[in-house]
Amino acid sequence: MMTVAEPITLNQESENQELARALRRRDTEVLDRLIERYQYRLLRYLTTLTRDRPTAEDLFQETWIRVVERGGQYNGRHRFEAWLFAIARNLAIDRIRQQKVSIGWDEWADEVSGEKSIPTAARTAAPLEDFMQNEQRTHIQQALNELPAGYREVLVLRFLEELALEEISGVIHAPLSTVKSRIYRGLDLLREKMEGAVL
Amino acid sequence: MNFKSHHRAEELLLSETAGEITRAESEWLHQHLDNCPACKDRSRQWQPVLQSLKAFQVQVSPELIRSTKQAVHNRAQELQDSRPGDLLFWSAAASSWIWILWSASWLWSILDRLGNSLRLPAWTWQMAFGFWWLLPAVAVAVVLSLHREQQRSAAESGIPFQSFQEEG
Ligand SMILES: [Zn+2]
Repeated sequence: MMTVAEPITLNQESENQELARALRRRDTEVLDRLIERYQYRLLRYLTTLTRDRPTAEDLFQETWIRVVERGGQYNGRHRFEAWLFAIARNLAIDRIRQQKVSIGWDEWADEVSGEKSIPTAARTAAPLEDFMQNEQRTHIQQALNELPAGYREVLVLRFLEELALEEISGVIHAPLSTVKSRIYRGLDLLREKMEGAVL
Repeated sequence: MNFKSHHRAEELLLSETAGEITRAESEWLHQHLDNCPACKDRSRQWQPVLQSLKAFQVQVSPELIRSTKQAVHNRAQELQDSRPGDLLFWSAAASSWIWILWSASWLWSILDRLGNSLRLPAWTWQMAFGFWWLLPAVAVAVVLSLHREQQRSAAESGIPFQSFQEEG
C-alpha cells in the first residue's frame, strides 16, 4: 500500500476525507470533476512513462476505472494525486511488461509539440517566442524520452507534477535516498542529452 | 566545506525550484553557493534543464475525457448493480428471526429431554440450542465472505504494487 508521508494541512485533510467518502460511494459527479482536474497531469505522466500516446490514453481510462473500483482504498490521509499516480504507474508497468511497449518518440511528437498543444496561457506569446518555445519543448521531450524510465519518471513527478520527495518514494516504492539520487542523476543526464541535441 | 554541506546544497537547490524552501535555508544555500564553485556550477547547469522541463505539456482531447467519463459512469453503475451484500445481510437477519420464533418452543423441550436422557450437563444442550439459532446467519456469512473474496481478487488481478524495472 501507499507509504507516502506528505504533511497536509487540516483544511486539506478534511477535503481529502470528503473526497475519500465520495470515492467510497462512487459519486460520479465528483469523479467527473477529478477526471477534468487531473487530465493534463495524469496523461503527461503516463505519456512520459510509456512514450506512446495511444497506450497512455488507454491507461488514462483504465486508471480512472481502477479509481472507481478501488475508491474505498483511498483513506484521505495523503494527497489524492499521489494515490492516483501510484495506480497509474502500476497499470503502466503491467502494460509495459505484457506488451513489451517500447514505442519511441516520433509517433506523437508532432501532435504534442505543434501549435495545437500549446496551453491556453502560452497562446499570447509572440510568434518568435512561440517558435522558440516549441523548439524547447521538442528538445526537452526528446531528451526525456532518451532517459531510462526510472529517471524519467522521478523528474516528471518532482518538477512537473510537483509531488514531494516522500510522495514520490511512496508512488515508486523506493527509498527516499533512491528518489534523490535518481533526481540528481536524471538532471545531469537530461542536461547532457539536451546539450548533445543543441550541439 | 564537507560532503554533507554540498549534499545539503544540492537538496536545497531542488527545493528552491519547487518553491519549497524557507528563508533560513535560502540564506544558507546562497551563502554556500557564493563560496563553493562546484555547487555554483551545478546550479548554473541545472537551471536551464529545470526551466525546459516546465515547458513539457500534452494536449488532452475532449473525446478522451468524454469517453473516460462514460466508462467510469458505466463501471460505477455495474458495481452498484452487482452488490448483493445488503440483500444477503438482511435476508440472513430475517431468516434468523423466523427460524428462532418458529423453533424456540419445541426445540427447547426436545433438547432438554435429550440432554436429560443422555445425562449431559445443561450447558451442552443449551449451547446446541444457541448454535441452532445461529445456523442461517452463519450460512449467509460464509456465502457473503466468499462472494467478497471473489470480487476482490477480480479487482486486483494483474496489478500488484511492484517496483519499476529500469531500462538500460
Ligand atoms: Zn558545495
